[in-house]
Amino acid sequence: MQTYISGIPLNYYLSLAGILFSIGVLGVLTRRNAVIIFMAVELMLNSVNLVFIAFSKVLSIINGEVIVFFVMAIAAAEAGVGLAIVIAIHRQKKTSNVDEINLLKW
Amino acid sequence: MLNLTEIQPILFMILSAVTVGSALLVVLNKNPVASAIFLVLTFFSLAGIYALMNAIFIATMQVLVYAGAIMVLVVFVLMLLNLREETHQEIWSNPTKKTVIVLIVIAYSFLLLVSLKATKDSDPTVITNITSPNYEYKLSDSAESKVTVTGNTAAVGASTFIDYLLPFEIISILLLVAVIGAVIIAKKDAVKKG
Amino acid sequence: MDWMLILVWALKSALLFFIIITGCAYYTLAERVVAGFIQDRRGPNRAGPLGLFQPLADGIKFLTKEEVFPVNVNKAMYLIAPAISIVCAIMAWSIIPFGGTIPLPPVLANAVGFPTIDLQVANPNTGILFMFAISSLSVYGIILAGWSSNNKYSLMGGIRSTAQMISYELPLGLSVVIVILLSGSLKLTEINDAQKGLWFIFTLPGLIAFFIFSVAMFAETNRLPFDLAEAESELVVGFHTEYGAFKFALFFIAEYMNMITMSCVVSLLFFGGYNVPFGILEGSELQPLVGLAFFIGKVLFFAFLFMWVRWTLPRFRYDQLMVLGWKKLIPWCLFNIVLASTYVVYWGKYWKGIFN
Repeated sequence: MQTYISGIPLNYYLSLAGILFSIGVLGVLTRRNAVIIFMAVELMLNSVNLVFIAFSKVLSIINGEVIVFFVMAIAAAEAGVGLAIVIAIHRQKKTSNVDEINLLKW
Repeated sequence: MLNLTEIQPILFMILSAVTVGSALLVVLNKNPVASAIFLVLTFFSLAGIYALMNAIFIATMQVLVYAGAIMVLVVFVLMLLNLREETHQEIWSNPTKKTVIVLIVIAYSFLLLVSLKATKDSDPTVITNITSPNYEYKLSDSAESKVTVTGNTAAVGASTFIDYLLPFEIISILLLVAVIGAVIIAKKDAVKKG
Repeated sequence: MDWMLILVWALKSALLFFIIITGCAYYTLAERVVAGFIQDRRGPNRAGPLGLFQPLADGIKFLTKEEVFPVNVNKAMYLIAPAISIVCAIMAWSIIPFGGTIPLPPVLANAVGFPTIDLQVANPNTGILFMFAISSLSVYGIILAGWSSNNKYSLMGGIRSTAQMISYELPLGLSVVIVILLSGSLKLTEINDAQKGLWFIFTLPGLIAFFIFSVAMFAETNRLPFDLAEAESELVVGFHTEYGAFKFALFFIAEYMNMITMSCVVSLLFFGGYNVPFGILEGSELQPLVGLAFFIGKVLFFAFLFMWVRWTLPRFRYDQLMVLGWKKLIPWCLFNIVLASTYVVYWGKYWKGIFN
């Protein structure tokens, strides 16, 4: 079954989401700066949003978009708390390099 | 209304090229603030792709929440922490690791390109009409589909407040907890010990 | 493809762009004349009859000054920051409706294929949210300008200005929620049509929302009494200290354009937009043009209000500003949302009936 959303096959949207997700994974695995790892995680969340919306359009239901709305709210909450943790660690250790945060208590 | 069927594939190609290009630049860039700016560009072009699919409420929310609020917070933190540029990464300077990563990327891209043409030409074609602006959405909670709303924003709003009311209220409590937690974690100690 | 529609849309955008750039240039002249009037002196009147060529003289000055790059700046961000400011300032004009629909004369209608023209470039279903998205993006111009200038006063000015803008986006958005509740739609033309009988400012939740929106609008555009981050005697000039010549002109024009945009938004949301008062000229041929004239009158009044307040009120200190935004405006906004909900459900019809 070939499904088209706005004239573009569904596979194209899913491949785009796959590429974005893998770029996010690449960022998490290869970077050492905590804030850039966080940004790569946001990229992964966005690729998942794209998949949700694509399938919600294919199945002609609205639930996918509502889930995306909730994912955005959770990403915002995660951003706030995660960056507060990065600031607190930076204040103590003067570094935001995840390789150097390797002691249980200092 | 505007007949856009000829321009949609071109728009999608341009937007997805910008998205993938700036996502790569986010991950491979040495300067953290430049990474943040490219991530804003990625979110903006993703919002364009959502608008292309007629999910305009989510597209506007993407720009408002992700590009306009979360990334401002990230840029703020980067400026307050005054981060230096990163030196050359361990992974990119090690030839074995570099070749492994490049090989995995090439294999994955090949698989993705093959999946683009994953359907046979004899399959039936389905064109969804949910992308027209006046589509009548039916909410899933009503038994005989008594509730129908017109328009994307109205549908997301109605579904949030009829089908998903409990998660909505829980999300508001979660955001309150996150705000309180962030303020407490990032606060300076009022009295220095010792 | 409907090439005719695209051509009309492109012509409307180009005409609107030209009109707002000229309007903004003369707004800077008007600011100096009104400042002179309030301070009991004459404004600029040398550069032409009544000083009307002053914006042209300013433009030539900005274009011909030497472009200076400070040492050790990140060139890409230094150049992108004024571009982001001006692009976001201009983009917000694409959804403002200046009037209703104008019927074309039959000759032109047969040529282009459709009978009416909207006095609006685009009418998305999420109109007012689009406006907020664009004003959230304009924060990037300021923070990048402050950071990339390699100057600690710019950085402090940029961070303070950004924190002020994002803090006051909350009362701004929450008071627009009142308007959305009262009108039932996000589309700007439908918000305008919902005010046909009674402007929203004459309802109690609308009145409170208007006061909160005005305060937040002054803080969003970094105008007095909230302009600590860029005042003349504090922090040098704030985030655009290291910008000269044309880059400064872009920031300058972006600031004035934001002011006119906010005036347009407040007259659309609370003061009836392009509705003709008392319902005269209903259904006649002249109604869109008279509505346009009334809309421009309301926008000019609010533009004058910006200038009037600038030279009347003293400046807020930064911590007073933050306390006002977070601790005083937001609780009033939340109370107002509850009030507006009860208005819509219970006593709205009776209130509207008094005035009709």
